[in-house]
Formats: sequence, C-alpha cells, structure tokens
Amino acid sequence: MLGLMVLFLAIFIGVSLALFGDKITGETLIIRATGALAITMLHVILIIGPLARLNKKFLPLLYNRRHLGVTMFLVAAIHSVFSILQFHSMGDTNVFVSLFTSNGDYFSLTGFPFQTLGFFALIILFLMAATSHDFWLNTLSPKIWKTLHMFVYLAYAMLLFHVMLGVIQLEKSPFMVILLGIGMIMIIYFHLKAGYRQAKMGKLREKIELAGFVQVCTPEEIDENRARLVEINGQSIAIFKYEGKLSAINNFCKHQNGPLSEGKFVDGCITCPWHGYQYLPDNGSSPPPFTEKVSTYHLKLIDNEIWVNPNPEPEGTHIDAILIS
Amino acid sequence: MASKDDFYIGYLPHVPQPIAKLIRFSVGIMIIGVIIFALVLATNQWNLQANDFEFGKTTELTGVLQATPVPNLIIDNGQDIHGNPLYQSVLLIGLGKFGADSLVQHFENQIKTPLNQTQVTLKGTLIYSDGKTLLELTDEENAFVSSSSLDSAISLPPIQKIGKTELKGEMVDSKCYFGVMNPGHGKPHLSCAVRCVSGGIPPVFWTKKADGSTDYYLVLGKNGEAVQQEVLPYIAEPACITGEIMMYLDWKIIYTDTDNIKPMGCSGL
Repeated sequence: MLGLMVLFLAIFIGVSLALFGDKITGETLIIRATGALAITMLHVILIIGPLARLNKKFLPLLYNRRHLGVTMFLVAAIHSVFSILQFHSMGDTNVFVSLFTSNGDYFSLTGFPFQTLGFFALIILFLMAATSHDFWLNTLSPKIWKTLHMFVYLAYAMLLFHVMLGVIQLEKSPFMVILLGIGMIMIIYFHLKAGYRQAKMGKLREKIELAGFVQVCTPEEIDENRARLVEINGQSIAIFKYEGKLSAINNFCKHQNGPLSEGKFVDGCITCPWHGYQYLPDNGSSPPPFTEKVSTYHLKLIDNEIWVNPNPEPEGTHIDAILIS
Repeated sequence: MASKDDFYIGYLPHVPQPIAKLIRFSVGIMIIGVIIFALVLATNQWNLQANDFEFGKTTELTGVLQATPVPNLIIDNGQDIHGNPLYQSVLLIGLGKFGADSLVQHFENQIKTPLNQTQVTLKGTLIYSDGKTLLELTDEENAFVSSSSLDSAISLPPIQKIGKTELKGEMVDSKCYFGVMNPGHGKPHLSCAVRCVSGGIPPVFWTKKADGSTDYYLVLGKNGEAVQQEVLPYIAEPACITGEIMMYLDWKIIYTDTDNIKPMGCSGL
C-alpha cells in the first residue's frame, strides 16, 4: 500500500511539475497531491469492507484497512497543515479564527466555507486514527469503538462536499466530478449489495415457533465447517456445522464486531473472518489464554430440522453441541 | 480453481493459492488504477496562470516612492520612441498577508525623514504577471536600503480621468493574484484573499475584455482612501462594480464605494 501511495505521489507531482512547473508553487503542489491522494485512499478504505463481505477472497485486504486508515489520516493532515499555512497564516487574525470567519457564507450552498468541512472531517479521522489500536478497542468496548469508527461515513460525506464546494468550483475539466461520482456510486453500490446479502442470509423462509424454539433449516443446508446466519428477535445467531455436530453462538466477534457466521471452523475453533479471533463452538469462549466470550444458544434437531432458541445464554456458557446422526 | 473452502487467516504463514492469486491480481489492478487516477487528476488541474514570484531571490529597486494612491515605487524605464520618459509603478507589499503602509511608516521613523516622493532603494522579492509588477518587502525593517533627495522633480504624467463605468469581474488581493498564489482567485483562494485584503494589501478588480484579455483595476474609495475591511464581503466572488476610472501610470484605478459593488452570478469569468 505504501508503494502505491509513493507511486501516486510520484506520478502526480512529476506530471504537475512537467506541465506546470514554472507556475505552481511547492506548497500548492503538496496541497493538491496530498488532497488527491487522501480522497483516493478513503474510497479504497471504504470499499474494502463490503468487498470482503461479498467475496471472502478479498479478506486479506481487510487486514490492511486499519493501517491504511491511519496513513490516510496522516496524508490528510499534511494537506490540512499546508492549507492552513497557505491560506490563513501570516495574517492579521489567528489561523483558526480565520478558518471559520474568512468566509461567512454559511447559509449558501455554493458559497459555503468548504474548508470548515475538511477541518471537521479531519477531527473525525484523527479520533479514528488515535483510537485505532486494540488498546482503545478494549478500553472503549467494541460497541462504542465501532460506533465511533462508523463516523467515517460522516467524514466521507463532509469530504465529498469539501471537494465539490472547493476546488471543483474552479475546475473546468469534468474529470474530477466524474471520478468523484464514480467513487461515490461504487461505495454506495457495494455497501447496499453487502447489506442486502446479509439481510437475505439471516432471513428465515418462514418463522415457525415451538416452545420457544424457532425452526431454521436442515443440517444439509449448512456447509461443513461453516455457519448459517439467522436473525430472530433482534438476535444475530451463527449456527455452525462441524465434526458431525451443531453449535450456535452470537454472530458478532468481540474484537471488532466481525461477522462470525462468515468465518470457518478451524483447528477446533470458530474463526472470525476479519482478524482470525477464535471461539470454542460449545461455550463461545476464546481458547486460553484469550478471554473473549460471546453468547451461546440452545439448539434442537427434530426430524432433521434445526431449531434454535433465540434467548441467549450468558457469554461463555457451555451448551452441549447436538449431534447430527 | 478457487475452492469454496479457502479461508484466509492473517497470522498463519500459509495463504491459500486462489486467495493469493486474487490478491496479486487485485494489486495489479490497483497499480493500474493508481497510475490512471494520478495521471487524470494531475493533467486536469486548473489552467494555471503564467505568474512569477521570485521566492528566495531578492532584488534591489531604486525609484521614487509614492505613498498614494497606494504605496508604490516609480521606476524609470527609459524613454519611448518619441523620447518621452517611461515610468512603471511597482506596488509595494508587506511580508505575509500585510500591506506596505506600516513598513513605509517604519522606514520614515527610522531615518526621521518623510519618504514620500523621494528617491529610495528598496530590497524585496519581485512578483510579476501580465505587465504588472509588485515588490514584496520580504526583509521587512531591513528592506529599506537607502534614500536620497531628487536632483530634479520627475515629470509624471497626470492621473488621467477615463470616466464612470461598470465592470464585471472579481475582486482579489493584488499580491496573490499577480504571483504568490496560483491560482490567486476564485473560491478556493477566498480565505487567503480575505486575509490579505484585511491585512492592507491593495484589492484589485480583474475583468475580461471583449478580446479575451484581462484588465486590472486597483480599487480605492470614492475619495482615494484605501478600502480594506469594507470590501471583504465581495472578495473572490463574481461581482459588478461601478465607479470613476482613472489612469495612474501603468495602472487603472476604480474609485468606488460598497454601495456600488454588487455580487452577481457573472458568466465567462
């Protein structure tokens, strides 16, 4: 990824110098090159998630997403620092006061002070980068951490407007608008497709209940060492088939809420597709010395039909796997 | 052939071949994508102006300092083909986003002599574009080199009245527009232009002529006073401006007030 970034910067700066070297200043070139790189990187970052959900073979890219996010923040920070220096420093007002007051058209769409949008987006990216380490994931809890990191979509929206209401208003070439539009459509498309697929995967054909248990499917409908996702009463349940047995645990990995139902039974453990966190299928606990635990669910096999009780047992509760005879 | 059972775990040394193959293919696609993106974005940048800012290089200029209409240095450029003296007005600008008024004041305090209409040598960084020249007094207090009284008064052509007119164009700060920034106009540059004009840099109104060339007008108040804070709402936006036009050496000046500046959605800018 670092190599790709260097390649991008080398081409952008090299071509700009070749075409406009006598006209463009070093500061302007840095602002443009880092701005273009940051928005390109953000598109890649946002597409990796749904792409890996749609095709498991893209999962290795997911392992790089966090590093890519932190690097993207650093690139955006360089863009911001140079922009503030160029447009607001060495003047008669504090740079941050200038940032918010030099353009007062807050109630105009085309005149809106686009730099403020970039500033707030950078704050979000900073919070995400600063809390990207697993220490903060554990300290804040996966739920809060994940919620915080969902703000990347707000940052993306602000950055889209930052570009559209800023530099694009001076551009005569349609290419930047076209590229941004294609990028936005791709992000929306992949997210909708991944979301639709997940909703479809967890949906029951028909909800049949019996004594607190809900009918799901037959064992043959689940691949060996894989799971079937089922969404019942707000519970997201992954039913795994392995070694001639069935077990059910909560779908969300304790690490980053990764979808365990898209994982695999490997070396005696259910393994999360995102970062390889593991859980024992019969008690939802990570093997020692790890301490992560998820809820478990009771299963029944009646007339070759799997039935699940959607009321979760406390995290780490042992439930005997049921045998597929 | 990819197997449905392939599963990637980052911390394991072995990567299933189909996955490794797809990732290698994806990296190839990304390299091509990066090359295309960088080329398209770099080659489709705004057509930058042919400005010059001699950053890092200082030049000494000798001429007659004029405090009005804006601080400027009148340079003797020899004679035209009819033997008439040719003078050029070089606008004086401060370092950063400031005008030169306070620096000129400082020089006068330093040598305890008024400098208006005396011969001075100043050191600074040249900014020039489209026939207009400005001198940034980069070393601030040390930009003043020497002064001497004039042997004989120079015969400047009188400020020539052209008449009242309406212009359509954009008000910018003279320093960035003529070279320090590129582009030094339009919305992306608005904040910087506001800071510059607020700091005392003379505002300039540029307008497109019928033949496609550009005309520039220094903007002053009705009575020739500097206008800075008053015009900030109109900076870097298409506007119409009405006022009296005068010719001062190689500069046109428009004398106006804020009642005669109207924001507008001009086309063709």
